[in-house]
Amino acid sequence: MSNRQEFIANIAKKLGRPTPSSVTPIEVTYPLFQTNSPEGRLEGFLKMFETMGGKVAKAATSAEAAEALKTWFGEKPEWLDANKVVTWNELPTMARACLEELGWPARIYADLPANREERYAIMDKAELGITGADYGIVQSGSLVLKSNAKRGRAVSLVPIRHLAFIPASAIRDRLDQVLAELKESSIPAAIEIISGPSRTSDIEMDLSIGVHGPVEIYCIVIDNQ
Amino acid sequence: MSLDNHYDVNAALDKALNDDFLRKATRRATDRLRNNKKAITDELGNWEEWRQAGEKIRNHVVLNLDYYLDMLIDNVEKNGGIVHLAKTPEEAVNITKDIFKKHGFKSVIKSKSMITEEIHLNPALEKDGIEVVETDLAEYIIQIANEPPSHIIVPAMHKNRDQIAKLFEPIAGHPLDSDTPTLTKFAREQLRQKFMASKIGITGCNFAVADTGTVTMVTNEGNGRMTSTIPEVQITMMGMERIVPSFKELSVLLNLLARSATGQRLSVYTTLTTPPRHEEDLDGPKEWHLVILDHNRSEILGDEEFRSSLRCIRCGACFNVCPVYRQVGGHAYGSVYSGPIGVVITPLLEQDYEKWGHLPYFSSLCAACAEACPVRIPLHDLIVKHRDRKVLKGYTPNLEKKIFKYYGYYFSRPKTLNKFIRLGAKFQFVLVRNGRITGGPPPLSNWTNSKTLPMVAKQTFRDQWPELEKNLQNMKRGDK
Amino acid sequence: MFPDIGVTMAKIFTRLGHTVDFPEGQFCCGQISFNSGYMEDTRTVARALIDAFEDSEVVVGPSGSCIGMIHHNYPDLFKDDPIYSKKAKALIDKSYEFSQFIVNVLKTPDLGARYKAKVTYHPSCHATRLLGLKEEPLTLLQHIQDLEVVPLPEAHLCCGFGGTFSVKMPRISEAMVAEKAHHVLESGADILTGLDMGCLMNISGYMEKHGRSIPAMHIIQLLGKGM
Repeated sequence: MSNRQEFIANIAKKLGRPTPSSVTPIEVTYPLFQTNSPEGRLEGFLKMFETMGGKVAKAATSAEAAEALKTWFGEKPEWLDANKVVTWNELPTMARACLEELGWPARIYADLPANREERYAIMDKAELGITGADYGIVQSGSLVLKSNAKRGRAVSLVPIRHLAFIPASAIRDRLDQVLAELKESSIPAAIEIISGPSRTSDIEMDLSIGVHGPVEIYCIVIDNQ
Repeated sequence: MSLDNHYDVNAALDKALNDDFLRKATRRATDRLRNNKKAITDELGNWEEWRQAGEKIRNHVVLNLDYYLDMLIDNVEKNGGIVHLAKTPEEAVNITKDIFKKHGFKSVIKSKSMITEEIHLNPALEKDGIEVVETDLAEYIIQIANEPPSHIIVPAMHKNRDQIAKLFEPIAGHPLDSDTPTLTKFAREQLRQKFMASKIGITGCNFAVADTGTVTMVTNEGNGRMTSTIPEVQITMMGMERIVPSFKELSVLLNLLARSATGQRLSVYTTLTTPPRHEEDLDGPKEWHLVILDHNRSEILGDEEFRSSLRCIRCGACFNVCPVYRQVGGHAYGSVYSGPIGVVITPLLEQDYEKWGHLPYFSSLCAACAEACPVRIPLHDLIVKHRDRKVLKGYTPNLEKKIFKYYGYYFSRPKTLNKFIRLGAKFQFVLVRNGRITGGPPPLSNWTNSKTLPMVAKQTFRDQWPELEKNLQNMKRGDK
Repeated sequence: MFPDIGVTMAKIFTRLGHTVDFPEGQFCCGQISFNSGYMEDTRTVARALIDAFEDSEVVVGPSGSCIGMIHHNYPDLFKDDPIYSKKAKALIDKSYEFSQFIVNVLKTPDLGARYKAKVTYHPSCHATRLLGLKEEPLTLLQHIQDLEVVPLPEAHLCCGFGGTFSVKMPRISEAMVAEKAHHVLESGADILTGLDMGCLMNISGYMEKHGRSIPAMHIIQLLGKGM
């Protein structure tokens, strides 16, 4: 018997029956949070995103988005230079247009050096990572990001600030709805569910923002339907 | 699993009970976590229904563990991951060491994992000359202090900021202010370098999803993400029971976990990785090992009285309501897992009442733990079962056995017992000062050392009853 | 140690028109040995209790802990004994803690008592968590005229009694009761009340030894004073 068969057989023995060839899935019910309208959902998301410690703005046009960025970071942030803004390859049209409007230089993650040490060294010094988001969650104020070759995982993690652009239509009430939709297509190597800036209360239960992940998190909700 | 080989329960309690900072810190941490949980579970609507759902899911997994484990292994392998099955902590340690040997890695970054504490992985790797870097802030602190965690969610809560600053100073090479932002920033900078240079990472696993081969990790700091994003080789360690069937059940348990552990709606980072990285992906491990540990979990599974303890999702909610933990903190238990769940699982994981027989008495059986548990483990009942087991296996003192033999005999013979009580009432004066019993021989002295006792009544209720019964009949007749 | 509780309880039920009996064979629910893990000795004691109440119509006890023991633990205790598991079930179905019976079954929370005092209520663990009695004792207290009930800070905390726990782990138990005593004083009450004499005895015993005591009275004793 292989190690695996032995391992599994031992569990079956402890359970006092052979390993079943199929199992009826379990059904559970519990009270579900729900918003009542698309407007309510959007408002709920904006509110909860801020509750979680992020900053958020609605934008119907790239000009509106650019205004929000200027409010948050200044007309020309002092940290801005050629390597300080890194983005996904795959970004909503509005995000690119917004950067163009601002005239801020941005690097595309996949275009950074292929050598990982060099790439992470640049990322380590980056001030702003810009991504899209596949879903937003009202109940927990979260962003949900699927990874792929054009959506580097480090972009939402390593820079000091993370900014995500998300279409209002991608906002769901709850995590279970998001996970159900994710299950419908192939599962990427990483799904990151992000709820607020990096934080810790490890020292004397004193809340401290910005440990290993981004210290600040921002979101533009694309509302142009 | 002990902190050292010289654990002595009385010495440990002495140390804990005399440590005012520890006791204050424990109260502060548990009060905070408990109150946060209350607010955030109230928000969910009917929390009891959520708990029932959690219990049902976890029960279902535990009862079909072989089926789901088999499915998980299939899917992880299909995705290109490498599964290792370890029966014992030693096997798990050796599997890990072999991976290091294969690559020649001499340094590793780790995100918080109780399983690695359970198998004592760090000292074993360090013995092989490997530098182990804990990256969770609290784990980083206690690693420098060379101490075990005192709480499964907030492992360094027994340390104050001045102590932490002192621990960091030799590394910094200069004095540090002890305010939280300074200390946090220092750790961020130190660990940043380690993250960016890392080639291999070790992480824990909150839940593994059987039908996709996904592992879930929740962190607030982002160290779990770093450890699963930057290194090209990743090892994930999990207890074999930490499985959910699919994403559907996962969403319920993630809600229960975050809300119960820290009173958050979700942890800041809930990371669902289905490694290894895909072709052309720039981040994430190219090589991924999943180490699945038994360590007598199969024994617990086969023990119907204790099987429910495998439902545990390691949220720590039972710590935060436990009045014993509140007074003594985690280290006094002497075990890696402390608090009510530690009391229950440590003797089972170690299959040892000789060494861990003190743990089941770290409970007043107040049942606050069972009430707090998000998957409804009847923790206080299981603690009694341990005491029962110890009695059956002959691990309790002879005097205690004798006392309960007499108790059984006399307390089922009220008339005889009543005579003794009358005698006691007559002779108690030798122990009485100012109308209270103030001293006595052991075990009574264990009470009277810190408390007085009221006197035994001159006349028991039983003796008063014949007279009272007549009065009651008169009362009824006269309706007065 | 507290025969007056039984006397008052008997008088209350008689006044409400019920016939009170005190079956000779009863003594103890067995919790002391149960909590220490001595199940055989517990069964001996519990069987005597079950037999004693076999002919009673309703069983009411002045202790959340004892009734909690019967309700919560007897089924498991006798799961391998078909005769006594049936008998235990019958006892469970007809047994109540005092406040539970008065408030939920008889629905006569106003017993006509009047007592001027400031009391704080300690919700003992087993009454609260094993029997779920959260509102019932407070309802009884609210119906005592002139009685002021003040909240007990951190009321959810166990007092450290735990039956044999207080003797087996005296140091932890002492730390727990010290905190409880602190909260009792903090409440500003003149009297500490509750549903379990074990807990009350533990708290008041500690306070008495440390020279800052206030009287501890079972809810039934309060009622007895006021009737």
